[in-house]
Amino acid sequence: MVAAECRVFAHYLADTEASPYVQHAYGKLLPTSDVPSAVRDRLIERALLSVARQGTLATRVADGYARFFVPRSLLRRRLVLMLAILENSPGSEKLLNSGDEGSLVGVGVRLVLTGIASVLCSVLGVVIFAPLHLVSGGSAAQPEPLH
Amino acid sequence: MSRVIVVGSGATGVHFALTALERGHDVTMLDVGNERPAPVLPGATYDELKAQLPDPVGYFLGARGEGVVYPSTSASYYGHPPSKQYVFDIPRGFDTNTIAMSPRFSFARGGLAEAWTGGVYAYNRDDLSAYPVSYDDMRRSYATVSRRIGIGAVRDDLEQFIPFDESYRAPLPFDTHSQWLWDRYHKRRDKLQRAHGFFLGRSRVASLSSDLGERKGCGQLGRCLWGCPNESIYSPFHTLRECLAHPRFTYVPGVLVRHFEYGEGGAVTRIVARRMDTHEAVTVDGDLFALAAGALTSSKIVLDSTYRHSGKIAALPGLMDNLQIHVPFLTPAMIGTRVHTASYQFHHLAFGVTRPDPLDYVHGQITTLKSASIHPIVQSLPLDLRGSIGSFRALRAGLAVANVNLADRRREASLLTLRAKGGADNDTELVVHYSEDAAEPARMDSAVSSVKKALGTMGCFVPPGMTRVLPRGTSVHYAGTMPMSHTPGEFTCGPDGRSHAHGNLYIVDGASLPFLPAKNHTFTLMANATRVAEGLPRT
Repeated sequence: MVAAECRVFAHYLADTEASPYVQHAYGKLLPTSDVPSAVRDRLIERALLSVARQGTLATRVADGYARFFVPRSLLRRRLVLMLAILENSPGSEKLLNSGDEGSLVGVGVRLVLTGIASVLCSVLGVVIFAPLHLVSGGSAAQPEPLH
Repeated sequence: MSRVIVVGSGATGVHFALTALERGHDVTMLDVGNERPAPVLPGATYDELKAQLPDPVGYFLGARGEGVVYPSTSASYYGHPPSKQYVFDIPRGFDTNTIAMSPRFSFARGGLAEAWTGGVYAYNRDDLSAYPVSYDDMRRSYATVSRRIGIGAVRDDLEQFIPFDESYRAPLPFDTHSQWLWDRYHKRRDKLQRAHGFFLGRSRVASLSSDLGERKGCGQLGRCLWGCPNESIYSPFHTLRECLAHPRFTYVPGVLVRHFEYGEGGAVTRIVARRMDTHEAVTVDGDLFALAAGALTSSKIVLDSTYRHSGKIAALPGLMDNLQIHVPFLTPAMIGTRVHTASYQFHHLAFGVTRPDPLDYVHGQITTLKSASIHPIVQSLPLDLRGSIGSFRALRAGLAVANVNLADRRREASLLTLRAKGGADNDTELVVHYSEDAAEPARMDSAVSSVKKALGTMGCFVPPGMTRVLPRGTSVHYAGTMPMSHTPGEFTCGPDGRSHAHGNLYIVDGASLPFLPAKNHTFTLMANATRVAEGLPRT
């Protein structure tokens, strides 16, 4: 399951296959991203992670919700870990460590499109996860307190 | 000549020791002395490290993932990397109990300055008006230290706040973004100065643009934060190396100084330390003793000495620390330009903001984003991570952070004391209790507001909600617990650094500063230690 999750997250973050090196690093450092079992077992935490594992679009929808309403969730922690690994791994480091070059207009258009896609995914995330979040005892209207 | 015992190998210890050696004294330095690891792939750039190291994740994130910055309410935009962990490793038996502050300690060879960004800013006459020494007393020592460490600087608008010295060298070349900010400042200079009291200049940095002794000029590798393999960025470790070549210098690593013993009249008779490997007690005799272990650790040694001599747990009021605020900003004009990760990573620009009271002068440095660990930044953006990565890539060339520093004053309620732990060794832990100045929030708001307005005037955009006040203690500019004073006290020292209570004990680190200006204090610490050593009695 960890290897499959690693592959999905690598595609989501960097459009790249998770190399054996990345998979090994992810498996090795995964325990450092863990949260207390009381948090891990909450319905919203389990739902975010389960949905995110289904594919890159599902990951983006779950992440889009988690960013605003469960920012310190297990899903966000695992994605941040994956990002940290990818930015330091051969093959993916160039994409993440470089910037877009070109005209201000061209870069600006890409920025706007990126923002629109993110907003749409976050709205979809609210539709899917807000009811689950409410059922699991969290407020969907306010960010989570620090665990 | 005297036998001088120096405690600590940080910025003050090494310059005190080297000056004492140059004046003919015999010097023994006691130090825990955590060693820096050898640099990996010395000629490789930041990007090349990731491609060429056998385990780049292990190097950049650490074997236990200690370099991963996870989401939290206090997550910083950057932290100290695993390659610098040796700087902050605490020896067993050195315990602290902190209130409203998260101080950092170092027991590395070279001390906390092993992990600094090289900012060196001489105090001016206003800053030193709260001292029992004048700028004229300090000027020669500043120049001595400047020649030793190599400071890059030019004459500019900051000279009226930060004295310039002819010993300064050519600064490092600008990166593209810093050059743009510099040019824009000069186009709008009158308005910036008149409306916001904002003055911009080149950073004064102890980073070499050309070779100096064994140290090489900056190779533009982009590895400053992880440890410059060229030794272009000064570290006290380099001055320690000079001391080690001296025939009258003895370096004793692997010992943690616990306290000193003193007799009738207060004169220190010997230092008591503990070997790190065997935990055996060792004693060291001398004629003169210098505490240079850093303001907090030196203070603990004095408190422990008093406690073991008299049974009294004393308190040292006046603890100071510069509050730091990070103000990230975007320069739209830079968007779409190329980012050169293989370039000097730290700040090229410094600024000052004037206040009605000159002692409230605000100091800051601007670091444009070149090579960096990006996951702490990306996760803070208000989008999902994929969208944040896309936005970050689009904006990257225009990103920078202004690091705003505020001055601090001594207050009775900010203090250091001890708590007895009991046990066979009668050990203690250091209690660090910082009490915030009630007026500081207003000063902070005013300073940050001025900086934001100035950045706006320069054509930069400060995104709302991203300014971060760093946790108290992050600056590692600690000072004030055994201040220089003309008025004798049990825990004060004279202008010559000599303890009023112990005639052969010298306080040469930040503990002796009676006021903490906003400017990074390390240069002044080194210069003051040099000045004190120049005044040591010859017999």
